[in-house]
Formats: sequence, structure tokens, C-alpha cells
Amino acid sequence: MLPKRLLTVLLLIVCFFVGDRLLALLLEKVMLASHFRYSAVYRPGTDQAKDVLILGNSRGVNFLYAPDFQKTTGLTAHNLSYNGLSTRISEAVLLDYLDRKPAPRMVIIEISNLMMDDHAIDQFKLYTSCSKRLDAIYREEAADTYWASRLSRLFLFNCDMFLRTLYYLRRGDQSWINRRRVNLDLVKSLEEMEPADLRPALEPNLEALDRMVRHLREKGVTPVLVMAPYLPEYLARVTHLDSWLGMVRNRLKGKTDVLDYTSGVTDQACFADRTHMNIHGAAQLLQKLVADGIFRDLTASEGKSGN
Amino acid sequence: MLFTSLPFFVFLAAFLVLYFSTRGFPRLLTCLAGSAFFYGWWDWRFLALLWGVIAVNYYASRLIGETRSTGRRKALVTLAIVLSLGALGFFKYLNFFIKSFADLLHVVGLSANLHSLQIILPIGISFYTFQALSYTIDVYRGKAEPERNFLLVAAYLSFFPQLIAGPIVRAPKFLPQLRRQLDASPPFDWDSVFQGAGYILWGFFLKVVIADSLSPFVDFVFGNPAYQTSLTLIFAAVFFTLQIYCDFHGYSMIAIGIGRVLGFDFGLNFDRPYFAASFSEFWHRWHIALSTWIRDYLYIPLGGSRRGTVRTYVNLFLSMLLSGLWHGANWTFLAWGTLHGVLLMGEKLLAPSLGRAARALRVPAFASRTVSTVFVFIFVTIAWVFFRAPQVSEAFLFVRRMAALGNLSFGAVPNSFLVIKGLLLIAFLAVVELTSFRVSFGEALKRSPAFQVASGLVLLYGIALLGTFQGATFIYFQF
Repeated sequence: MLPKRLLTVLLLIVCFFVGDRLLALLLEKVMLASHFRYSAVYRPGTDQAKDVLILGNSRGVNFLYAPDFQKTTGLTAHNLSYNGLSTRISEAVLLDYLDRKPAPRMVIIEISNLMMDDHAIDQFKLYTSCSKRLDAIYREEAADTYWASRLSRLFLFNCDMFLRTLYYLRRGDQSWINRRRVNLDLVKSLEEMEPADLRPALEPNLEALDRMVRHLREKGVTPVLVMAPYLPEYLARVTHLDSWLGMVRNRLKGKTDVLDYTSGVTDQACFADRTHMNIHGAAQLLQKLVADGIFRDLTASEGKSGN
Repeated sequence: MLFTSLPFFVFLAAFLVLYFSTRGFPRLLTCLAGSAFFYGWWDWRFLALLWGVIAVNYYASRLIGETRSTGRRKALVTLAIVLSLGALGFFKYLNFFIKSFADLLHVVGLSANLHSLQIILPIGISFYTFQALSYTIDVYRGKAEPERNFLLVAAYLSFFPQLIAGPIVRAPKFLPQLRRQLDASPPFDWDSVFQGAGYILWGFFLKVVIADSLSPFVDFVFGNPAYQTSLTLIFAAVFFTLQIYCDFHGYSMIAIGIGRVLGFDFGLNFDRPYFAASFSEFWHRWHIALSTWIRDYLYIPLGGSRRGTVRTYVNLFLSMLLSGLWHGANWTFLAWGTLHGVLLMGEKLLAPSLGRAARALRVPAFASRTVSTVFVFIFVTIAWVFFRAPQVSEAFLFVRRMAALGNLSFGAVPNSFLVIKGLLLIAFLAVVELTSFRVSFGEALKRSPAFQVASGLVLLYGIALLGTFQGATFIYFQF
């Protein structure tokens, strides 16, 4: 009886590890074949150069609607933002992009990601097999689950981001943007909200931003740092915004300015919630960015319509 | 110490080595020391309370066994009940009663300077109190022999696999097994170990894959119900219905599995409750250990269904109300218990007429059962909203907005990826449970090593790919 039982256990253990590695290889192929924003970065092969890259957290995701952007400016854009993405992880992704793909001409960084900690690495572990930089952050920030990913390679695919790669297997992800409109009860509740400061910018993120700007300048890429719009009723409750932005400007020591678009969109219908625009907001903001000549240098050289 | 945490696995490994390498008294000491360590890991100070409850019930049972005077026996069992429930009442309900009393005074225009006390709720107190009471009451009723060995009773009432969140096991079932296991030869049985390991794996899957995957969406929506669309609220209510099931069923399976590895049979605690076609059937399938406890130690002593229709309804209602109160000192739990009481009374009132109508209309049995199952599921889900909501008023708001069916667009549901993942996991569970009505997984596992390996791999890969490892505690730990 005992040998049969032991044989079953041994068989289970062997099958588990062999199957785990084989399945992980298969899933990695699927993941890289996806049209999801980061799969495009880590997929081997050279893609056509993009004019503009956008980096940020969920506010970056909803900052610019790439199809609209191309139609309006004639420029190509690739949004590399993700929910909860910190500046430090953005830096790893950007450097990986610059190592693998033709350099863009402009990188827009939505800087509210300075407030994010690195918990999004739990999503970005998906790409740690392709990126030493992400792997290093994962090892440092999630030591308790890092060992699990050594035991089971399938564990790396245990995240919502992998579900997104499946979702975008047959469709592009650059149309990912909020389409809902802010709930009016939520807007009303903001009247009773106590005024509060923004969360502080985290030191590792400020250092990463500084390095990114310097690196982009060295590569001849224009860095553009922006603070995207907030719902006006919420913005009215935010205190010390100017000093927050001033602190970031001071840290950058004049290497580049921070463009304050926090009140750039004022129509409630342009927001999905208090901190995120929706597709209408992104369209309205784009008009403003174009009117402000943000893309003038890019379009002028190609004779496109970016003012 | 969470069953799903690394310290627990280390503890369990050490415990198993000690348990299987000893016999007789040293094994009994291993059980006692292991259980004390497991409980004390959370807060060692409450070991005194646990052992106090054990001592009260041990001595009361012994004295009941030694006396023939009916009056004295009754006095002793009453004393044990009062002391045990007194401790439970103090730690779990005192602040609730103080606050409710102050609110009541406020409503009638009076004010009193009543202060709540800073009381920590000892983990598992409701479970071990009810288990200890079942022992004393069973001895009083002559259904269990009073055990003379204090350490044996202490090992029974503090046995770590089912100490924190059950299942509540009765003395006539557990003590003979404990005596047998203490001198078991050979020291363990491979079939039990394998069966137990399978239960543990399935419980782990239910908890970390299904329950903990549903939890973030549920927490988000229940935190802001006023700002959500009807479809979002419906998803959240259904997700919580499945979350609490997988959380508690998962815990029970791990507990039962550990017991099985150690050679014990605790019995089932859940039997596919969401496929129940009536509310009474639901309570035969949900948290069976507590349902049968309430039936045997409350409903039947109150008269059960033997004292006329009205009294039956009252007894049903009171039993469900106590079941609600047992879960926690909050009006939401009372509302949940009340709702189930009303549903059970309504069913008792209407079921005969509905049955006659279905027969007259020649509704096929399958169709009738399916409709009933869906109907029961909907109302059980609504009742869970009251259980989960922080306040009764919020629960009403939640149900009102959900029932309004205002916005049913999937595009307006936040975190749609979490929702899709949740729906797929629920579908998987439904398929497994539906299949288990036709195929006995236990038998298939016994017969086929290939099926053992295949099902083991499915669960392990499922845990690796979809498990959530954020150290989420079990919902029933708070009770």
C-alpha cells in the first residue's frame, strides 16, 4: 500500500514541476503575442518608432486617448501607463523600452505617480522573466512572494495584468480609457469633504523621475511632465497643491518644467470619478495641449497639424 | 495563526512529527501543548479564558454524572450555561447592549452617561463556548458519559484544527475517536492522510483562489454602495454570497482535512447549500454544525414543531434570531437572522399551497426544483447583504438600489477584470458542485491514482495561477 501511495505523491510532485515549467513557457508565448501595452515592449523584434510615449498611473491611462491623438495631431502615441504604476516602476519600463525599441521623440509623464508605492510590482511580475530591472524591483519589494515565483513559474501569471494580456490578444489596448461619467452623488458628497493635502511624493520616485528626465535628455528625447486634471469639486478641496508642484520643480532643478493641468478640464461630464477623466475629458484636454503648443516641435518638423 | 500562512505550515509540520512519533499520554500532551501554542500565538492571555470555560464545563459535567438528584443536576447544568454564556456575553455582547441601551434612552428623550468598555473579542469564543456547552448538556441529558480525565476533555475542547472556527464537534462523536487515536497502532493510516490532504488542498483552493479573489470587489462596493450602479451592486451581493461560502467552507475543509490526517472524522459542515430548493433545506446544508446545534439545544427544547403552528413559528423565529446574534453583536446580524426567520416561517406557511399548485399545473419536478433553487438563492443573497453591510440602513440602501435595476450596463461596472475573473471562478465551482451530485469525487479519488494526480494538479495550478496571498483572514474568525 505504502509504495503505491508514495509513487502517487512522487508522480504528483514531478508532474507539478514539469507541467508548471511547460505551462509557464506556453503562457509566456501567449503573453508576448498579446497587443497589451507592455507585451509590445518586451516582444522581440523592432517596431515602428512612436512619436510620443505616455507614462503614469491610472490618471495616465485616462490622460490621452491614443486613437484621438493620432487623428488630431497626425502623430503616433503609445500609452504605457497602468493603474497604480509608480514612477520607479515606470523608469524600469521606460529604460527597457529604450533598450529594445526605437526612441520616441517625446515622453509625457503624468507625475501623480510620484505618490504611488511599488505595490504594482505584483502586476508587473508578469514581465520579470523579460526584464532584469523589473525582476530586481520584484525581489526587493515583494520578497515574501518572490520565493513563490521561483517555486512555481506559473505564479508569475497570477495577476490581473495577465488577464488583460488575454483580453487584448486580438485587439489593440490603446483604446483603453474610462467611458463612464462621474456619479452625481459622489460629486455632491465632495461638498462635505474635509480639505486635504495630496499624498506626499515618495523619495524613491522623485529620484527615479530625476534619472528619467536626465536619461531622456541625453537620448535627445523631450520629457514633458504634466499633472492631469482633477474633478473641479475635488480640486477645490485639495490644499497646498502649489507647494506640492513647487517641491517637484525644485527637485528637478530646472531640467524641465512641470505643466499644471489640474484645472485644465472643468466640465463634470468629462470625469469618471474625482481623480480620473473619461474619454470626453481626454479629448478636451488634447485640444488644450495642442492649443498650448505642446506638440509644436514634433508636428512642425513633419508639417502636421499640431499648431 | 492563519491556516493559509507560512507560520501555520511550519507549526503543522512540527506538530505532525511530534503527534505521529508519540502514543498515549505523550500524544495527549502533544495535542494540548500544540493547541495551546496555536491559540496563544494570537494572544496568550486568552488561554486562561479558554481553559476557564473548559474547567467550568468539565467540573459541571463530572458533578452532573456523580449526582442523581434531578434538581441538583439541573442546577449544575444551569450554572455551567450561565457561566459559559456569561463569559461570551461579557466579551462579545456587553458593549453592544450598553450602546443599544444608550440609544434606546436617547430615543425616549433620556440621556445617560454610559461608557463602552475596551474589550478585545477573544478569537473563536463563540465556537468553543458552544462546543463546551454541548458537552455539558449532552452529559446532563445522558447522551454522553462524563469524562473523568480532565486533560482528555481539555484536548477535546481546545483541539486546534476546529478551535477557532469549528466545525463544532459533539463529545459522543469526538471523545471515542480521541481515545482511539491516543493509542492508535499503527500510528497513522495512509488512506486518512491522503483523504485529509485532499480536503486541505480543496479548502485551500476555495479560500485563496475563490473567496480571496472575490473579496476586493466586494470590499470596494460595500464600502461605497451609494455610488454604484444596480448591476455593480448585484455582482457585489452575489460575490459576497460566494465569498462567505468559499471562505467558511474552505476553512472547514482545511480543519476537517487536518483532523482526517490526524485520524479524526469531524463530519461535514457544508453540503452544496446554494443548490437548496427551500430555506429549510438551505439550513440543512449550510454550517451544519451550528444549524444542528441550534436545532438540538434551542429549537427542540423550546418545543420544536410539537406545540402547535403558532408556537412552531415562534420557535423557528427565535432560533434564527439567536443564530444571527451568535454571529456578532451588531444589528446587521440580528436583521440577517430575522430575515431568515421570516423566510422560514413564510416557507412553512406557503409551501403546502405552492406544492399543490405545482402538482395541479403539472409542473415537471426538475423545473419546479430549478425555479425554487433560484428563488432561494436570490433571497439568501439579499439576506447576506444585511450580514455584510456595516449598518442596517446601508443594507436597505444597498438592496433598494440593487432592486431598482437602474443601470444594467456592464461598461459601468468598475474593475471589470475582477468581475470577469470572479464570474469564471463561480462558474467553475458551480460545475464542480453540480457534477458532484452525479459523480462521487471521493469514490473516484479512491479508485484511480490517475484521477488523484490530475485533480491534485488542477488544484495546485489553480492556486499558483489564481490564488491570492495577501494574508486575508477568514471571515468567521470574528465570530
